[in-house]
Amino acid sequence: MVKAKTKPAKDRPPRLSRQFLRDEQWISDHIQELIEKYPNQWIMVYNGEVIAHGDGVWTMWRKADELGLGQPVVTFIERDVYVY
Amino acid sequence: MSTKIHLDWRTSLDQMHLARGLQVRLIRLFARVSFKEPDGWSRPWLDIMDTGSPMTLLPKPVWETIHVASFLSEAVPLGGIGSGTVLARLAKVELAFLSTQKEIVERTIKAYLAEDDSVPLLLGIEDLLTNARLVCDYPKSKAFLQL
Repeated sequence: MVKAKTKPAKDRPPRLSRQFLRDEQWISDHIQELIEKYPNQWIMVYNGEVIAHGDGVWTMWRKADELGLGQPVVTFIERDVYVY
Repeated sequence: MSTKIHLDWRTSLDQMHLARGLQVRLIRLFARVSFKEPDGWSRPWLDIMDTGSPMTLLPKPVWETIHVASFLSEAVPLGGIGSGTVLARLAKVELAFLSTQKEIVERTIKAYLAEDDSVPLLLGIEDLLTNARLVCDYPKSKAFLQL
């Protein structure tokens, strides 16, 4: 269950939270599973849980605002090989 | 005195080759950044560090909400992305490299602002790696920028 948090202060760049780094690590640890479930989609992860997924990145941020999440990790899950 | 900003490796396996019995790693290097917005700073974004890109490139959904300090050009075609070209305007934007410590490094950089969302968020060389030392040590799962 996600607990609501107040929106972070924005007068200076945010300091990364430990939870953000844990969620980043969680994504790395579960990347193959995420590729199977959410190929070529944006996902939003908070406290080791995929809170939202879809084609549009702003859907993720809107959801984060609705839930009052401070620092969710929003990232694109590449299934295919992208060479930029 | 310089500041060390840690970067994050992410490794996955190429599904297409895996199905054919070949193990090919797909490796990305990410930086955590925040962009200056009209009323403050954005939440953290994970951006791809791309030493193959001469410039930073931002897709439209990203730059639409940030503070663009100034536009430096009209839209010009950029090649090498996908099968064709994308139109993008050169602009100055402000970003900050984030860490869990107090050390947060702010930079004003030139970046291309793409006119659609088909491009990834890439951190390129100009104004970033031209003013930093990039250290990559994949075997030890380490990477950092010294700014």
